[in-house]
Amino acid sequence: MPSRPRRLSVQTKVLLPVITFLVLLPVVVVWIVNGYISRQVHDEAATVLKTADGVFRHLLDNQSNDLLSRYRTTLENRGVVRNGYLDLVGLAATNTAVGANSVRSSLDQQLGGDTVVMLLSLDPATPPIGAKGEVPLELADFARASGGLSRAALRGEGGADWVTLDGMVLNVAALPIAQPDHQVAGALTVGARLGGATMQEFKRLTGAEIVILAGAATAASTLGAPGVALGGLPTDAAQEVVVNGEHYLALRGAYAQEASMGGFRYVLLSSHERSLRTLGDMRRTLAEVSFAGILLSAAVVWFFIRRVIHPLRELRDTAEAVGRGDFSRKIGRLANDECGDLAEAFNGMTTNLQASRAELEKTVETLKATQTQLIQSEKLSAVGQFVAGVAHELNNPLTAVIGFSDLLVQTSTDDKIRLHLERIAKNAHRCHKIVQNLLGFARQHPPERSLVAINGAIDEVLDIMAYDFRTGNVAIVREFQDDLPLILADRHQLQQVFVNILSNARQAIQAVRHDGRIVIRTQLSAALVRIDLIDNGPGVRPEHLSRLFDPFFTTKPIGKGTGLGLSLCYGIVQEHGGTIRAQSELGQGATFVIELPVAPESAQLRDTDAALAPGGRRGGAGRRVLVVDDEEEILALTRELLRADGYEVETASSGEHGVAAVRRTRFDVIVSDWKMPGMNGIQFYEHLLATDRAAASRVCFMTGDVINDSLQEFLRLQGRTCLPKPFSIKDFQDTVADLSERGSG
Amino acid sequence: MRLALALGILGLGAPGLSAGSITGTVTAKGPSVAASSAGGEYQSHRYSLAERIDYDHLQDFVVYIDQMVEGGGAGADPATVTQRNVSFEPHVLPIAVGTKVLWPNKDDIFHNVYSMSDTMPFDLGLYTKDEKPKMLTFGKVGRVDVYCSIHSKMHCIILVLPSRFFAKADARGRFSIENVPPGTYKLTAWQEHVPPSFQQVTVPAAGGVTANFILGFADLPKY
Repeated sequence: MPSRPRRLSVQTKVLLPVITFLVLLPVVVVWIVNGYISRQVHDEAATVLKTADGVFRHLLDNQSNDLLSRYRTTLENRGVVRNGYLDLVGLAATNTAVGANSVRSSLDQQLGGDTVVMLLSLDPATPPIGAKGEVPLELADFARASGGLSRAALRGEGGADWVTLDGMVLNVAALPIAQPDHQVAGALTVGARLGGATMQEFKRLTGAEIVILAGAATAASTLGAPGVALGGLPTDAAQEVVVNGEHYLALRGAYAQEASMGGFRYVLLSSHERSLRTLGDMRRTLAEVSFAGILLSAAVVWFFIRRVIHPLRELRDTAEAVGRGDFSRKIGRLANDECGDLAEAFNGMTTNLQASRAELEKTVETLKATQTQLIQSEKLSAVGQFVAGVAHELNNPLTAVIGFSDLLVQTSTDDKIRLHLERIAKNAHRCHKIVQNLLGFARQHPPERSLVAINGAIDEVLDIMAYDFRTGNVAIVREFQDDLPLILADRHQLQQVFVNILSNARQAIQAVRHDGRIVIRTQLSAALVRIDLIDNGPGVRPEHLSRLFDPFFTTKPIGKGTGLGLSLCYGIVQEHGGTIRAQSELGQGATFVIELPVAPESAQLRDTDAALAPGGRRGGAGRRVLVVDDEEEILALTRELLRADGYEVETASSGEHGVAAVRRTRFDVIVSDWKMPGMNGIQFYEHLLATDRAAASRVCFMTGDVINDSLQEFLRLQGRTCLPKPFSIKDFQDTVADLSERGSG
Repeated sequence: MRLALALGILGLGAPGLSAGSITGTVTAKGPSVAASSAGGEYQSHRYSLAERIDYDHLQDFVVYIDQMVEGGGAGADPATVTQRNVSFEPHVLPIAVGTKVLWPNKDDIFHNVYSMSDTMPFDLGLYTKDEKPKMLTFGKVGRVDVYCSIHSKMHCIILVLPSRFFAKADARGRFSIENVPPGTYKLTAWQEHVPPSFQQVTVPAAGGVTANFILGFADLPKY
């Protein structure tokens, strides 16, 4: 597996934010909830404290009132138990020790419970007689502290208040002792200590710890010794404090009754410990649940991502494999979702790619073959050009050889010499034919339809290939039907078809035997001309038979054949509206059958007319002919020929000379070469057109070159004729005779 | 005084010198332990102010014949209730109707002995030990609660009974009434804090009869 640049996997990309979110969410939630609950708890505790404060004050008031009521009841009681307070007043008034002791013992007996001190006053001036319980309290201090109340009681107004004294909180009530006539005889002042039991009761009722302060010290407390200076707390605001290692919310207050001289400060404490513990528990539980949730969620997310990623990874691996060219890799397990679709699409793509690639490879191979063919073709084309050039060069000497030999044959009297001359002429003609064929074949032909005699066309091919057959020990058997109708075809294309088939046959035969034989049979069957080409070669394998005409199908070794030959044949025959087919049995040779439609009736007739046109030879006596050619041999030959016909012949070796000659003399016929150095045939003709139109109308051309399209067009437009070199004497004579007759006539 | 006593004895013995005794025990018993310990309404806050009675340590049981008895009149000698250490001694004083009671003050301070009872309301006024003890004659049967006006915790009960046939049980609750003329009597056991109880007893001419009392709320009749 190729190493990839480091990057985050999708798993990480999804997991990270999810986990971050999962972590952040509980953190934020815990933070918010914690804050909220803390606030709530604080508020609740504060509210509780406020309530407790109210209750506490109420309790204090009640306590005061209770004390007051209790003694008021006692004082006013006239029930079964007679109160002896008036007696006590009387005893006190005796101002004796016994009296005072009696009073003291009486008061002492009434002490008990919370009641720790009692005073009996007769009037503000006299010091009161009192008794106290076992408390660290000076009666004098108490008398001073409760003086106001006592004086009020002496005035007949009972009242109660709270005072702090020597580190004690006392509930003080003072009541008048009235005589039956409602005259105040004295006052009873009672001090009840705010004791532990009461404090516990208060604690129970208020639901808060209570610490009562006397100055800086603690007068009473439900907490034991607080150990912390609570006096410094601000009032009217709950505040957290730690007392004896426990958390409390504390509220400080001051208590005093109206018109009081006493009063005290206190601190109510509501335990915060449980709330804090609950809060802590809540936080911990939340954290644990969150942690578990995070783990679970992460696992679930991981699992699902894995499930999603797994096909993707497989897809990636497969894609890589396919990228390397391994088309056999397929994604196996298909999930029933988008991934499955993707995998399916991917598999489809892979298959298509495979097919495309195979096709592409085939195409590339085809292209290579085509290129080879093209190169071959170019080579052939070059050879063709070369051959055309050579042929043209050969034409001129051949014209001279043919012309003079013909001339000699006509003039010779010695039979033996004439026989020899005829041989020369015959072979020169043969050379001419060979050159002509070469030119025709090498030439690039635009497709053109003309009436073609199929036998002649085949003969031409056989002529070209005669050498091949001869050297390959292949005998050609011509079984031609003579009176075949013409067909409308491109002669050269048809000839190419025959060349291809015949050379294939020759090659096939040559490889296996030395007594090759090709039968070429032509016959008319219905409206078709049928050509059978039968060889006795090795035949074609059955499996190859159907592909025989496919392009680039070849059984020849690489470089020997292009596989285009028969394909081309097939294309050509098809274009001509014919059919080509092959029949073969392995070892029994092959037969190619070509059927071509016969040309329509009208075309046959017209051609026949043309063919029948007579070309009589007439005498050229008294007629003047100008021959313009750069070849001295041609000039000599034509001079001889025309003079023999009685013409007056003048020759010019170039266009310029020709022009000069025309200017000098009137000619009945002007024969000009096509290609000449300096002024060529066309220029010469155009010059004549410009200067002597009549002379121009008597011009005829001759050329050793192929008569190409542009020349043909020119000739057609100007109504001129052209003699292809080399020409026979007869052709030349006929042409000149035609022209001279036209010119004169 | 001795004469009076002798007269009394004579008087008792006069009908024929036959007499019996009534002996027995008197104790108090609270509600069943299970009921009290298990709580119940008695233990609830609602009854928190109710007087709790320590049944095991109740004192001052008095057993007496609750009817006029021939020859059961009061003796001549006065009984005494002393005021000492800011309390009355004894706390409960059973006497036959018509008995005199002396009220000496042995403290250094004043006391004011009074009673507002229906049986015998009185007010002796403030006096010290220096003064002559005051004496009162209780001529009516009934219970007289006596207090000191300046010492609210001072309290004693004078139980004025129809005859002199009564006895205070000792610390273990044993009592004995001697020289009771034979006959059938209504015998009552009394204690300050619990309801009284009575039995019908028949005193034989010779020997005695036994009567045991268990006072308390357990055997109260159900209504």
